[in-house]
Amino acid sequence: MKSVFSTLIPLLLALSTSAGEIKLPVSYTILNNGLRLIVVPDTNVAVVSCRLYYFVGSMYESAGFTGLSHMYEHMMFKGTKKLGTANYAAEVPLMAAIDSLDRLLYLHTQAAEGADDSISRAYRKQASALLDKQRKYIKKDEIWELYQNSGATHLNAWTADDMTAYIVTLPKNRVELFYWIESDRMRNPVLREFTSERDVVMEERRMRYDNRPLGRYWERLNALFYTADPYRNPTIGWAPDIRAFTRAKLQQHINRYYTPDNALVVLVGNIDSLRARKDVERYFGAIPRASRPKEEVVTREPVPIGETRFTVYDDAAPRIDMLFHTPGYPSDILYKMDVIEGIFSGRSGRLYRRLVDKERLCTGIDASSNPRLNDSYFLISAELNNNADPAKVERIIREEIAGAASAPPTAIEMRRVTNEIRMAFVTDLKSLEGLSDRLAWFERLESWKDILAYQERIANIKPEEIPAAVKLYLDPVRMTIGILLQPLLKQ
Amino acid sequence: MKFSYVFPAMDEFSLSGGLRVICMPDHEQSAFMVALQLPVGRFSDPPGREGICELTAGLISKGTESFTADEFAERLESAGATLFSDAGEENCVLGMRMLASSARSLVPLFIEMISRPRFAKEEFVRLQREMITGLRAETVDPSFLATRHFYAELAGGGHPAGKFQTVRSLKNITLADVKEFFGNFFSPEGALCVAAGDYDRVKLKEFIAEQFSLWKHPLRKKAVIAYRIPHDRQAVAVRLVNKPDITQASLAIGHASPGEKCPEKNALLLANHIFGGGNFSSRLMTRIRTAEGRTYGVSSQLLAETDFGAFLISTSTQNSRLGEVLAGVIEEYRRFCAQGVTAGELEKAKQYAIGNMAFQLEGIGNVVDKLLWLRFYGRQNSYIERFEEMIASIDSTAVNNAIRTYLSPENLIIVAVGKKAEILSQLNPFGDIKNYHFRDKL
Repeated sequence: MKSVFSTLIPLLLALSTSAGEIKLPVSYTILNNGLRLIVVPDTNVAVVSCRLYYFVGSMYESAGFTGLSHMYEHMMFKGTKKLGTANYAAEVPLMAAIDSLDRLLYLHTQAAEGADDSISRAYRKQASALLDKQRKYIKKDEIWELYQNSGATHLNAWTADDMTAYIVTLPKNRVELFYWIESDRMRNPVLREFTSERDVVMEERRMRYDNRPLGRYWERLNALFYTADPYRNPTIGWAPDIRAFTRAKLQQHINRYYTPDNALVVLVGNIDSLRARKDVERYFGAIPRASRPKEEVVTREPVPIGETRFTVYDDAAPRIDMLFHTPGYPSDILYKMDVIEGIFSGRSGRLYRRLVDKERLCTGIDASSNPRLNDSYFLISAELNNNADPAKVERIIREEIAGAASAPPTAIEMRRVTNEIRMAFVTDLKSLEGLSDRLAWFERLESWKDILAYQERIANIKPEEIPAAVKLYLDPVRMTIGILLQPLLKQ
Repeated sequence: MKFSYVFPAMDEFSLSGGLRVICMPDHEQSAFMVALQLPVGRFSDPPGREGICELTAGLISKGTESFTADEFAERLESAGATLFSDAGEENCVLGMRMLASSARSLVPLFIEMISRPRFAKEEFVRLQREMITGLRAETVDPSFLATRHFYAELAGGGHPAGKFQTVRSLKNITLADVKEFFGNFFSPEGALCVAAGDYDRVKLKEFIAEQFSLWKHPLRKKAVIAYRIPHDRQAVAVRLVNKPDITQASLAIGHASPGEKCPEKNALLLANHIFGGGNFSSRLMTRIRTAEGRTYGVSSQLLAETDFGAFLISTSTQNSRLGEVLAGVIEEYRRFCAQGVTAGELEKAKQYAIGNMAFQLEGIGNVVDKLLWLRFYGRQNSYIERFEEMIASIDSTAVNNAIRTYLSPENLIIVAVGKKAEILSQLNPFGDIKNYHFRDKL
């Protein structure tokens, strides 16, 4: 007889910010079908944060397919073959007919260059009539209502580059509902009302990017920063790709990535680890792995051979953003980059002191190290005073980088950075949801256990190690710099 | 869903200077926080000096008599502590989060900050400039513009809700104004401090009482509590704000509503949840997003201060669809007001309200926030501890009565921010249009 669990590691681990400050009774399991499970019991609360993470995001989307993971996030409440329907069999031919019309409409719109003419209106009318027919079989919002009726809160989902999460917080006696719904959704998703939801995604894109100066600036700057790595694509997808989405394309994407061997369940709250493991096995254990193993993204960002400069004149507060490539996770360098972030950031940070306090050129300035699976990045962002000379701000930031590359940080700086990281850690792990996301994030990158070693690794960094890291990774010769200025300053 | 919540053991007392204090030990994390709520907010900004409350609350944290802003920041940051401030309409909150081990050294610093701020000229100028830059960025955002025009139409210039901080009002403020505002309103009288964290209960009470007793300052002026605007307009008001560069229009639709002290507030909140506050399951979302795919989000909210309140529906859609989305929203609102809620809808809304309350009390920071909110409106802990009972007692008759009394689809204020050339003709059927440009001063 096969063992139920291929790996079973129940651990009581103290995560110390100082001696014994946080205790994490973590239980870690991998089912035979590859599904990972992390359980952290906490009897001080009456609820359980239930999160299902899929290790897929926009980094797995190639040209023409960008935004599919995000599109699926939108379809999360549309149901399954059992949920959200009174008669799934009757829906199938209607969806097929809608898809045919949708394809004709797409081809016609392309040929007519987007014109809303009588032909496209006729296609839309026919598709709308079919959808009305299908809606007679749809049990509207059944998944949502099942959760809501059980007292669910924080019912939501999010999509990032590296992973996607489906989240809900439930009373402790209703967690089985999560297993039931999510296992059914993993096995039998049905993409109902696909075309109207695609329109919703286009509205979201307009709202977040096309209509927002800062949104469109960031989207383009990111695409310039990453030359080859798929991180260059926006999570929401490029507009022409979204318009070209079909139900079949999305279903293929789901079949490939939304499988137990590419997923992680994290349960944090008032729950028994052993019982949770048995229940998760009962509901998810029989779901097969993907038919072929997931192909990891092999593309890596080539070393930049020069500076990339991007200047935009738009209706937003003026700013400068400098982006630098750093290694993917795991890498010892990333811990050093966290320290460098601390040295530059904050009211007592070097950049604020110089550019806001002394020179009065900026209203705010920040630095951040952003670890990613493949190619991470370090960002310095300066918000300029309206009359500030962007060239002068850039020159000063370069000087500060050069300073950090030539001498180690002071003991006071190191102490400040260590304490700030410690406090941020305590704050982050206070909520069930914060802890879930932290554990999932580390597991996605390498192993959830990295969370335990994080502070120690930071504390072990010696000041004299910092200049070399700055010199190697914050090299202005190879940075990407974005400059956003108001139109009036163009002249 | 069963909701049973009992606040942690706490000590509540008043100090001779008029400050009310709540001390609440919490040993779950080795963290500590103090939060001070002052009963003064943006509504108390003098005319022509709009933004002064926010500016004062922000400037307080930029150094004390003993420490320059840099020295002060360095002391906090080297201990991993963070400050927070939030200027609301009728109150403002200043606070500090720290590791429990730093509380003994940092709480005195917090008290020095609130009682003897430095008010350095260079810090004032910098913060003023920051606020102006931030405001300039906000005032090109279509949804920000829509909401601001909604309030301008609803409240007009004579009501505190109809006054806004502008670049001009911010530039008008001098450091002397800030000092005067601080002297008038930033007093322990009527203020509330909540101290919570990993500390022995007896020692915590002694420590906080001893430290905050040092803060003495008379309240010189009474803060503004805005009056309620009756919902008795004589006609629909339509504003078109032309922003030629955008492809997606923003809509703000609504009217006046009662404030927090309204006895039917919870019935109204349940009604709002069903109509537009309940995310994906709301009637608005079901129609405008799920069925029609016309928007990414559409929601309604009840914004409530003590007496003043507003009911506001917000959404956005591409310029070419504005008319049909607006018609759909209004039709849905008419139906809602005419038919009321069903027993099934109400049951789900109640479950959500109760479940959500449990969520709002997760973590010590949220509990502190909730205590500040309760006491500001003169409520005791039993308000939360008996929340389930209170919500369960509201039936559909009560909700539908509240809808009939306070919500109305007649005489709405409608604000559309979009490309005029595309949306003007679509707005015409909804009433006489007042035209604005997005750069017009309000």
